[in-house]
Amino acid sequence: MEKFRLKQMRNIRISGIIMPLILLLFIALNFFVKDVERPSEFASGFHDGVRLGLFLVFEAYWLFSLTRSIRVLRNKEYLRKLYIKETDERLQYVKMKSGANFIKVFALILMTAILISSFFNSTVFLTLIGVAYATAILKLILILYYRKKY
Amino acid sequence: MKTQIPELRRKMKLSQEELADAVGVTRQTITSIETGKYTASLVLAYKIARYFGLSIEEVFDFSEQEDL
Repeated sequence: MEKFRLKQMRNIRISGIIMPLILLLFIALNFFVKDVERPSEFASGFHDGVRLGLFLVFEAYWLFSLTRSIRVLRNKEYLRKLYIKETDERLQYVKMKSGANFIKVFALILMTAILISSFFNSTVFLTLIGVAYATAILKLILILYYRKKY
Repeated sequence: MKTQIPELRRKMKLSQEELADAVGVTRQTITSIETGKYTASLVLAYKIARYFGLSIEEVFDFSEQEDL
């Protein structure tokens, strides 16, 4: 469990670095990159909405990760519960079978690509959103299937 | 795979949650092992057997496993 505790401490440091970095990247892209042409007012609103939404999702993910790690380090009972959940062999097996870890990394890269492409090319931006939806649905189906199976 | 876990738990008046906590897995994993949906790893099987003070063969029934 000591390794898990150290992992949480590392997670706090990483979150502390990544959260301001995402904020800086978002501000920099907004101020320094010339925005793509938008065909209509609706498209413009959609673009801005997805962009802001993705930024908030990124920040919320790392904030959640940060608060969870702090709570784990302060509460021994919660630490034990989370440790069991993270190391449970059946859940690990389900994750392995459904490729959940790969999809998690892929989704993170995809979301970054969506955020960046929203400043440069509308077609790529919309295509990547489609891919993101398909990936999310696929992940959900696989997880539900394997959890029911095992 | 069939197991004696439900009977052993009943004898010891132990809940799935308590057993799961003692061997370091989630309650759902114990449920899956009991219903035969999931086959426990050797390490987990050993932990469960040791918890009941028995050998692995006394807790888990390997007779239905296919021979290679």
